[in-house]
Amino acid sequence: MEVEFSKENFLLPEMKYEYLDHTADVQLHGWGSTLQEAFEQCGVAMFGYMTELDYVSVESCYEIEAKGDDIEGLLFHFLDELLFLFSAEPFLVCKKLEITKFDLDNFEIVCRCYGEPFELGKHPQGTEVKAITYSAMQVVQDVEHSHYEVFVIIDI
Amino acid sequence: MLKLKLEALGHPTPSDVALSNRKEFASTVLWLEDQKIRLYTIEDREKLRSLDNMQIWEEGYKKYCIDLKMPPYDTQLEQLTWMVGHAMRLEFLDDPSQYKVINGQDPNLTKNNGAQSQQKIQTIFDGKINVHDKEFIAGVRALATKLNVPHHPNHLLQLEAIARIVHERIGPAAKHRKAITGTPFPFDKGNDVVSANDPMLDYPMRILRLLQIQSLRQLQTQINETIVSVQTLTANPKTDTKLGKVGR
Amino acid sequence: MVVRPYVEELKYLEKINDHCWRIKKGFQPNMNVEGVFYVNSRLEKLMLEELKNSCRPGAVGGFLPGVKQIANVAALPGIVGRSIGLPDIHSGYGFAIGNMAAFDMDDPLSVVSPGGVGFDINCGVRLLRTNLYEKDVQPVKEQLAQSLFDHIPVGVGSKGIIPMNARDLEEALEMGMDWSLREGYVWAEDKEHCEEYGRMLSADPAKVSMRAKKRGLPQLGTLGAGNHYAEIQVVDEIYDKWSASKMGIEEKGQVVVMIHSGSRGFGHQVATDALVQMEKAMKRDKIETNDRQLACARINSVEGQDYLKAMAAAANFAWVNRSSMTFLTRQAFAKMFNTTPDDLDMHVIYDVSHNIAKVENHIVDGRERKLLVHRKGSTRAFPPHHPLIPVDYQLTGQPVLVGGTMGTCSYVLTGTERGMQETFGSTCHGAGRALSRAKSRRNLDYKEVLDKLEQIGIAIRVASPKLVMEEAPEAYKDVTDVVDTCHAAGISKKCIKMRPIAVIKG
Repeated sequence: MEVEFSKENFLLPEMKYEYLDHTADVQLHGWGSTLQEAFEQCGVAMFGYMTELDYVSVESCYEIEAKGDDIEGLLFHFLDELLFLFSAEPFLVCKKLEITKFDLDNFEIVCRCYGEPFELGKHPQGTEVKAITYSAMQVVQDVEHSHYEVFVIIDI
Repeated sequence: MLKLKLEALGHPTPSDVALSNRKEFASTVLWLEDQKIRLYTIEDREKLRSLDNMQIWEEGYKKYCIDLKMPPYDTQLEQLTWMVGHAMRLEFLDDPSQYKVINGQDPNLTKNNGAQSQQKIQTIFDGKINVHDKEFIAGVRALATKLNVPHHPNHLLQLEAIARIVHERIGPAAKHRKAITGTPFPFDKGNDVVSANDPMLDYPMRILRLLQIQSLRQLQTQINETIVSVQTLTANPKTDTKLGKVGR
Repeated sequence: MVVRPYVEELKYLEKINDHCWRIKKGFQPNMNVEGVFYVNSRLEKLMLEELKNSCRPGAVGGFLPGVKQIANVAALPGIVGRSIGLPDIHSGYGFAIGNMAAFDMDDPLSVVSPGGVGFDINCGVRLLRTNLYEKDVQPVKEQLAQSLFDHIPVGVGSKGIIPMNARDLEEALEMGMDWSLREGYVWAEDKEHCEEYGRMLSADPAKVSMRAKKRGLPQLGTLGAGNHYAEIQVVDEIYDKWSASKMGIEEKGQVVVMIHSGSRGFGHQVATDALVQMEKAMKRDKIETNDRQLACARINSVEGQDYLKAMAAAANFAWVNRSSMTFLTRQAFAKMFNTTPDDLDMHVIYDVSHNIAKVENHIVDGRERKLLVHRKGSTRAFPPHHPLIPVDYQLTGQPVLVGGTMGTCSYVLTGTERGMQETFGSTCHGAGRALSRAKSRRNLDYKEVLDKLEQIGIAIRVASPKLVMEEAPEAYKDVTDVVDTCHAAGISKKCIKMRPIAVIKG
């Protein structure tokens, strides 16, 4: 669902993700000082594989919700929602994600997604993401050092 | 044919199986189940055994047909033919290697092919011609010699062959058709090997397969023609390049 | 998972002959049947190396090696015969890509697994012939490539140009290629030369999620990205003149067009949805597998049936998709040569599916049995006279289309009786990855890859040039090795070899 947002004081987060080596597919690795941030970074990493984010400007904002049965399930469904946002109306590529509700008791996420609709000619075409997978999915939580990491393999 | 099959299965009195008699039919069914099919355990065959009380037998038979997954046939003949076929299949599958040696050269198998299709067509043209009349047979034979149709013990089969030749080569429609030109079909080529060391089997099999393929091709062409005629009513292909940017 | 040193692992593998290895029971736990894989000496090295690497202590990450995956599939309930690895096998999600396995439909415990079909349901290859020769096309090669690129939407985020609304989509999902026929996008003869006649009758669009339909609608009639492509190819060699002529290929130099594409986001979503459902079904029915990725459900369960119906709808989507691109290709050629597709004799030679599960009858241990055959990265290859192949190929055996990778050659094979007996009538599907994507990106430069293609005379139009190195020939197993292995093992027979002169890619 599209939501209002203000372009004033809009800050882009720093990049805390990378792409890891994998046989036929690619592994996304996102990290941050909160688990929430690691999730956000992982989501942006996926968009970064579909196009080059430098060409994307922030024009609109959509809100998505995701639910899971456990933490891995939550990450899976979160990314699946984001993939859907890109694959059908509004065809959104996101430059920034902001998780506004991160409920680890009921495994629910509400997230604001900032970006613009994908447009050929403006945005370079990267690789198509077919699906999110559970394969070798890891959620690392180092509470003591406030360091959180997630690893997800996407099928491309 | 049914008798031959029963005989092959080892039925004690294959020529006495009269289909006009329901009881006779019932006992043949029981024989098949007892000796060959063995779908039920011995105890479960109770009802099928009650040849003395046909009412109970019919009840059991109804269930048996369902359990056997027999297609719904109407006549006794069809049902029995199916069951005998089923029994033969089971018999064969028990030990397929046993039948490996049987091939086209076995004279016992080729002996009987003349006497089969005589039962139904006894007369033609509303009974005006008796097809077993000596004169009629002589006529067919003469016509066959004239048209170079090979001899067959059953003159009716020969007549069928004659009819096809007349229809395809001599009829008015055929006269205007252009002669087929080009190279003859090399049917000894291809990736299929039927039986390389048994020409007696290989040669006719290839011919039969080609005939089958030809009739399939005709069917497929008819299907395609039908599709095309429907397309003239429904087809309206469109593209709209505004929908997506194509190329660059 | 059993962790053993490499030397120990090798004890479970036995080389049966020059092209075939056996995986004995015990290689992985609970194997119901043995495994087998087909390789030649070069592919064998790749295969064993992969296994060796995984035996190193501390090895973590992604997928198990292909050999292990074949063995895990052999442990699934209801599997019959053997779990079979084709020469182009490489590890994938659950099932390795290039693994085929058949399950007994009459065994109530038998399973269906979306991982055994793949995310890109009914990904496949279609080959169109023309009556043009290389000399006709060479002078206009660049324009023709551009024209194809202008006609066929490619790459991430591209949308189809055939107008479709939600109702059209529902109909297309149910009717498959019959929809394309009705609307006039393809010819009646195209249907005839298509696996399943381009339509799976078991399709039920009602079993497909709204999400899948929304992803599918804008993408119908698009090529996609990754390893999908459309290529203009030239016949380079004819091994079996007689069979080739049955396909309308008479001489070297004849021009053909190959389209490699699948069911796009629609199929991907159907697979994703099914995997989520099946996780639950596995817990409920207490189905144990060696690998969590081998999510599956009993064929007779609600989840199993729903998946098969949705998968069939995705298969229909893929056929409509390839048919739409056939239409666009014919348009592009007709415009270029200022004639009609008819006069260019642009018939479909054949259309194969290499990611699919089908109900087929096979002889197992001397008895005819009804099986659910999973082919993931494996192509059906039925022998001459099989009732399910088109009448035109009754004498040659089913044509098998094996696509190479960008810039390498492709092949047409034919099915054999031996393949029917040994591999449930299945053979390879393409080259199969050898290098990971990231490794190819690191080791290869995209400009070099493009220059190299240009040097060997291949016109290329690509939507995402910076990603071409992921698809460079170096990143794949040699398709010729793969095809030669299938030929030598007798599971299919070489017929025609083609080389590309123009490539259109996502």
